[in-house]
Amino acid sequence: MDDARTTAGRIGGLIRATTPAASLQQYLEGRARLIAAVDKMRSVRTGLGLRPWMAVAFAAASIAVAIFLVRGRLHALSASFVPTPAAPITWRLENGTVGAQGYVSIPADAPRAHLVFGDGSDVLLSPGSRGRVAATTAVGAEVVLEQGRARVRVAHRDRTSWVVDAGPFAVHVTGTDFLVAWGADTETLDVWMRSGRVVVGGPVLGDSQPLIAGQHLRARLHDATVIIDAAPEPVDGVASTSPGQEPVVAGVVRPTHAPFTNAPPNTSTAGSSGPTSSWSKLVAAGDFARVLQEAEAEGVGRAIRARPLADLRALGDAARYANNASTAKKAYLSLRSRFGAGSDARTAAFLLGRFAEEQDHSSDDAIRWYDRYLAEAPGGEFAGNALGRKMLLVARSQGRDAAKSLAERYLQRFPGGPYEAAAHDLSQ
Amino acid sequence: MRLLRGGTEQNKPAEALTDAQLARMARGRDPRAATLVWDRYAGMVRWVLYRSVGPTHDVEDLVQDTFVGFFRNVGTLRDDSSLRPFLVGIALRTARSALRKRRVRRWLRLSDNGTLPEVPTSDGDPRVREAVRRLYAILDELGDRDRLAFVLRHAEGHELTETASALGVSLATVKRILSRAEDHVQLRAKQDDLLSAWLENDDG
Repeated sequence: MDDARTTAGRIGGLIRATTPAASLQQYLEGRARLIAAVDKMRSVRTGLGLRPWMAVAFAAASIAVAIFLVRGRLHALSASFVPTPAAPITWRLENGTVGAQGYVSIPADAPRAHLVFGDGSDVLLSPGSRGRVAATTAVGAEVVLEQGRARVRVAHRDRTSWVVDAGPFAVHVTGTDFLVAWGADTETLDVWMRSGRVVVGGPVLGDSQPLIAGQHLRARLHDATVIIDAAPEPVDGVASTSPGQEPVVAGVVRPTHAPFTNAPPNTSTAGSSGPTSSWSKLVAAGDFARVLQEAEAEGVGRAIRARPLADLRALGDAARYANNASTAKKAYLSLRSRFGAGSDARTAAFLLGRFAEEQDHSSDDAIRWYDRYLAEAPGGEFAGNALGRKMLLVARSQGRDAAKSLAERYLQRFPGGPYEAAAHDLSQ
Repeated sequence: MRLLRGGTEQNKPAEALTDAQLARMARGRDPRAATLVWDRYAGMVRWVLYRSVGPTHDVEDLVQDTFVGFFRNVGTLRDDSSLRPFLVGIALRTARSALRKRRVRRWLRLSDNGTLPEVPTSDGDPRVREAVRRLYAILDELGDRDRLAFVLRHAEGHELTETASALGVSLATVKRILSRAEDHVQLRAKQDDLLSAWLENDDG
C-alpha cells in the first residue's frame, strides 16, 4: 500500500514537472475571450429591454409570488423529505455476470439481463448486447452500450443525471423510459421514446437533439443521415432485429435514407428532402463569403471542432472556392478526424492532396494523401485523378523510371482517362 | 498594482480583494469580475485541466468552458469564500466531459491506435515525453472518477478531504477510490520498462 502511494507521489511529480505553462498570448487571448463571453451573457440576460433595476424588481416580484404559491406545500413536503444520498447509487446485475470494470456481455443465446439500480432505475439488456456501467454518482449513472439493445427506465427525482453512451452518441436522461440500440458494425443509433424526454448528442446531430415521448430517432454515421419520426419500436423491444438493419415494423420498411434534419421535437420529418444545413445551402447558392464570415464570427477553430459533417464539408468547399486554402485544409482535416469513416472523409483526402500539391508545393505530402485516398477508395470518384496526379508527381520528383509502373497501372485501370497520354509517354 | 474604481470594492487593489468579494462581484455582474477572476485563477484551472485530461490541443478551450461555466453558475454558489473549490468543481466536470468525448472520438477511430496525439510537454527530453505519454495511457485505463481523484491528490497535492469534496464523495469513498487507482498505476507502471526505470532513478 505504502509502496503504491510512494509510486503515486512520484508519478504526480512527473505530471507536475511536465505540465507546460500557458504562453502570454494564450493567457491574454483567453482573458479576452472570457470578457467577451461574460459581456454576451450580460446582454442576453437583459435582452428583454428591461433596465437592470426593472429586471431585479421583476425577479423579486416573481420570487415573492413563487414563495406565496409553494409555501403552503412546503410544510407537507418537509415531513416526507428525504435528502439525496451523497454516496453513489448502487447497482446489481440479474441474469448475467459482471466482468472487470463493470463490463457486461450477454451471449446471443442467453436470456435478457437486468441491471437494477438503487435509485429505482433499471436497464434491460438484450441477448447479444455488450456494455458496462462506467460510473455511478449520487444522482445518476453513466452506462455504455457497446453493441446491441437496451431498454432504459430512469426513475425521475429532483436531481437526476444519467447518460447512456451508445457508440459515439450520448443520450442525456433526466427521468424517462426509452429503448436504445447501437449497431457498431452499421454505425447506427436508434432511440425509441416511451415517455419523458432525453437529449441526444453526437456526430451528425450537432450539439444536441431533444426527443420526447412517441418519437423515434435514427442517426447513421456512414452517410450522415438523421431521421426523426414516430416509428414504433420493435415488437420485442429488447430482443428483435439487429440494430442498424432495415427493421420491418408491422409490415412496413421504414425509410433509412432520409436526409439530415434538426426539426422541432413534435415534427415528423421522415421523407423530407434536401440538406438542411444553412451552410450547405449557401455554398449551393454560391455565397461562399458568407459561410466564411459566419465561421470566422463563430471562431474557425470552434466551428471545425463542433459543427456537424454537412457544415464541415460546406465550410471546406466554401473556403476552397474562395481560395482560402488555410481554412479549407483545417475543415477537411477536421472532417477526416471527426468523421473518418465516410465518403466525405475519403474525398477530403483527395482534396488535401490537391492542396499539398498546388498550394504547398509538397510532392511528398501530396503523394501521401493520394495514396491514402487510393487505399480508402480504390474505386472512388477521384481514383483516376489521384493515380494520375501521383504518377506525374513521382515522375517529377523521383524520375521517369520510378513512375513507369504507375503509368502502366493507370493505363490498365483507366484507359481513355485524362492522364492517358502522359501515362503512355512514361510507360515507354 | 492595479486599483479598482467604483462599486463596493472601490479603490481596493486587485490583490487585496478576497475570494468572497470576487464572488460577489461576479454574481453582481460587475464588468471587472471576468478580468479579476481570470487573473487570479486561470493558471490554477489550466493546471487542473491539463493534468486531468493529459496532453491535449484543446486545453485552452477547456479553460474557457470552465470560466464560462463559473459565470453562468456563480448564482448557485452558497458560500462566497468557496470560490476556489467551486471553480475546481466546474473544472473537474469539464475535464470529465472532455474525457467522455475522447472516448466517443475513439469510437470513431479518430487516431489509428487510439493513443493521444503528440503534444509538446514542458520537457524537451524525448524520453520524458515518452514517459508522460505512457503514463497518461495508464491513467486512461482508470475510470474517470478514479483518474481525477488520483490527479487531484498526487499531482495537484489536494488533501484527502479537499479531494473528496471536489468529487462530491465521502472521505471513506475517496480513500477507497485512491487506493484502487494507486494500486493500478503502480502495477502498470512497474510493467512498463521506461516508467519503472524512471521511478527507480527518481529515488532522490
